[in-house]
Parts: sequence; C-alpha cells; structure tokens
Amino acid sequence: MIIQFLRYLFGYINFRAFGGFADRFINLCTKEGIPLWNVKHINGNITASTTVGGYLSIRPVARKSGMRVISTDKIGLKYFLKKHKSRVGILIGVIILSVIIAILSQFVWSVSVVGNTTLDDDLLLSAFEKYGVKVGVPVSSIDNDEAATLVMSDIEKLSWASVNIKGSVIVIEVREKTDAPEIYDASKPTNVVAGEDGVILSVDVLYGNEEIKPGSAVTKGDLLISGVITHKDGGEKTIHADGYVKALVKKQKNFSSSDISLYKINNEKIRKVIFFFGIKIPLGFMGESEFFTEHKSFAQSEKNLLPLGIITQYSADFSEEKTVVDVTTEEKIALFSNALYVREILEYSEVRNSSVKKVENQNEMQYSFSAQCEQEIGVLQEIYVEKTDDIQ
Amino acid sequence: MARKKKERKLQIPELYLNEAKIEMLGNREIIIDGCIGVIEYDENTIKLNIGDLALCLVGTDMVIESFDSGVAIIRGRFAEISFVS
Repeated sequence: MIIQFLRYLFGYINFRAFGGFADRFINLCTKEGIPLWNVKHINGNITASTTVGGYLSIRPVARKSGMRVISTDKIGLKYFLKKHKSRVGILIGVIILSVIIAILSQFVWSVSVVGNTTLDDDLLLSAFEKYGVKVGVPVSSIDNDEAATLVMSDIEKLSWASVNIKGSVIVIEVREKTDAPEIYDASKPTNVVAGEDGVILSVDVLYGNEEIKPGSAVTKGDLLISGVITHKDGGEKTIHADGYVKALVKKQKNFSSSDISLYKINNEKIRKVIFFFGIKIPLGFMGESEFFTEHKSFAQSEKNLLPLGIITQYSADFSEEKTVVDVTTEEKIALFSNALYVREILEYSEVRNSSVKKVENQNEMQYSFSAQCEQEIGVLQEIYVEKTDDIQ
Repeated sequence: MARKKKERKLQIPELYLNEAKIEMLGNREIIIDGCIGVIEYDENTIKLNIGDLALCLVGTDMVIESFDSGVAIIRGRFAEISFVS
C-alpha cells in the first residue's frame, strides 16, 4: 500500500516492449538498476511499469536486447495535476472542503445520553449544557470530569456520570440511584379494616384472625382481619395483622363540562429556527408568551444525530373561556373527564363492568359513570395499646 | 552482500550460503531470493537462473511482480515447478 502510494506520488510509466528477447531485456534492466514491476508477457509483447527515471534510461537497454519500447500510460500525482491544470476550481473546492472538515471536526457534533431509566434525556442534556457540554462548542473546551461531577451534585438521583468524548461525538453515560426499599414495620399491632364499601370476594390472611367471610357486605371501616389473638386461657395479645382482602366495589361519579376549565388560545405563533452547530437562526419573530413548546428535527446519520436541523417553536397565550360551548363539545369534554377517571381507577383495580348514562340537567350536560371493580380494600389500622406497669 | 550478512547473522551453514531461497504461497505466488537472472520468458513459462540450477515455472497469468536485488516475486497460477541443471 505504502509502496503504491509512493509510486503514485513520484509518478511511474506503464510501457509496452515488443520484438527482440524479453528475458535479456529484463536481465539488462535489473543490471542497470531500472526497477520493473507488473511484468506481463501477452501475445509476444511485454507490458511492465517503471519509474520516470528508469524509463528515461531504458532505451539503450531495449536496443541491446533488440526490443522497441512504447510508453502506454503515465500515472502519478504530477501527471494528474498536469491533466487537470485547467480545472483549478475543483482543486480549490477540495482544499476548502478539507479545511472545513478539519475545522468542524474540532467542534462537538452530537451529544447523547445513555443509561438513564427514569430521568428524562432533555433534563440531563440541559444540565450538562449548563457546564459547557453541548453541540457546537470546541471539543478542547470541555472539561468532562468537572462537568460530570457538577451535574451529579445538581441532580441527586444520579449515582454516577461520565462524559465520553469520541472524536466529535459526546456520549454521556449515567447511572441512577436505586431508592432504598421501604422498611416494613411489622412490630406495631394492627388490624386490617375495609378502606371502601363493597362485597367481599376473597380473604387471604397472612397474620391475625379472619373476621369476615367471602360474600359478606362491608362498609368502610369494618374489621376484616383482627390483630387481637385470644388464648385458650382467656388472655389476649396483639399482633401485626396482615392479609389480602379483595372486594367488589361500586364506583360512581358524575361528570359535566364545568369540571374542566376551558381556555381560549390567543396570539398563536409558529416559527422555524435553523440549528447549525449550536447556532440558532430564527426565521421570524416571536414575543414572550404564557405557553411555549418546541419540536426539534435533526438530520441523522446511521448512529448519531447531526448538528444540523430545524426547530419548530410554538407559542400562545391563553384566556379562560366562560362562554357556553355547543353540545358536541360539551359531550366530548364530559367523556374526556370520564376517560381520565377510568384511567385512574384502572391503576389499582380491575373493572368488571361499566356504564355511562346521560343525565339531563337544566344548565349543563351531565354524564353519570358507574362501574363495578374488583379491588383490594384492606387497610392497616394501628391498635393503640396502653402499657401499664402494674402486673397482678 | 546484504543477503550474505543476513545469512551470517542467522547462522545459516556455509554449505547453503549460495543456494537460492524459495518461498511459495500455494500455487499463486513464489518468492525467489537469490535469483541471478531470467533465462527464458514467455506467456506460460518462466525459467530463472538460481545459481547451479534453473528454476522452471509453468503456468498461466504469470506476472513478474518485481525483480530487484536478486529477489524475484512472481504471481500467477503455477501448474508445474521443476529444477533444470
């Protein structure tokens, strides 16, 4: 490879030799110190390559061996430049491109975060941006150890952070702290009581006395599992009762459009911003508004985002709307509230069946949501015990 | 001279000092250290002077990759290699 490069740099000549004695020609060339390579014998002709100097002194050797030599090709940098002398623009373009690449490679092209599970990418990126780790800054200006230490002190949830610079790409590796598990205090005497009204479906007692059977109806506060144990001799002791009590619970809630505040959007503005190596060029004006959001869209290579893209910014002001909305909108709002409530219920229970009924009201449209849910209703309730020193 | 110095350093017995060293990579490449010259050269045959003997290579697509300072590198598809005295 290096030899080929050097040959190209200094230039070489491909030639054809014919007539005479090929073996004698090669021997004489070697004797005279004329370097030959890629010597091929094709149809009585010899094709080979030699240096420019070698070709200049090849004629006497060819004459001695009875051969005629004709150059077929001149290859090398100087021949290339000579050939493209009139195309100076290309050369200038190549030089300018090389310079641009050399300059741009000194700057950060992309910053990405890996290893975060609960913390948001944007939160971490903006934290590191505060300490100079951002797109567009010179790579040499980044103090990766200091930035990692400062961000770790800013964000308590981080247990470890490292800023890895790979050329123009920065990969921030983080590890989040694992919260210590909640200590379950089983030393306090407790009862398990009903947290909601319902019909008991199943009772699994871990500790304590079962006070209720499946099929029984309970109201909020009823004792389900008792933490008071009675011995055969009539004596009592308190323990930490625990268990799982599942019940069928009825949920009901009314929704109306007045449950949700309506806002009117004013001064809605959208503008595009060109992002190039950390420089933001806004295409238009945008004043200060109550609400602001932006969507970033960057060019992407196979692995990384490139520091080139368009940011779409959106801003608006809101004013509370008191006016009466049409029936369809009212319906939508009520159903939306209903959906939010169902989502909330589903987090802790299993919905068996549900129904939504329209309730006619004079002023507004109301919807009544009712559902039957299976849920865990057992709640721990501490038993307060008064200690006395008198033992009889 | 350089070759002889190298051989002395490598402590090669005196008996073999004038012998050519031949290295083959399958039937596709042959490197001959101690090649004095080319005796015969045509499309399918290359006969090389390696001192007391001549090395005859028969094959196709044969190319003298380089021939310098007594070292010849020949590439091709060799079908036959023989020594002729």
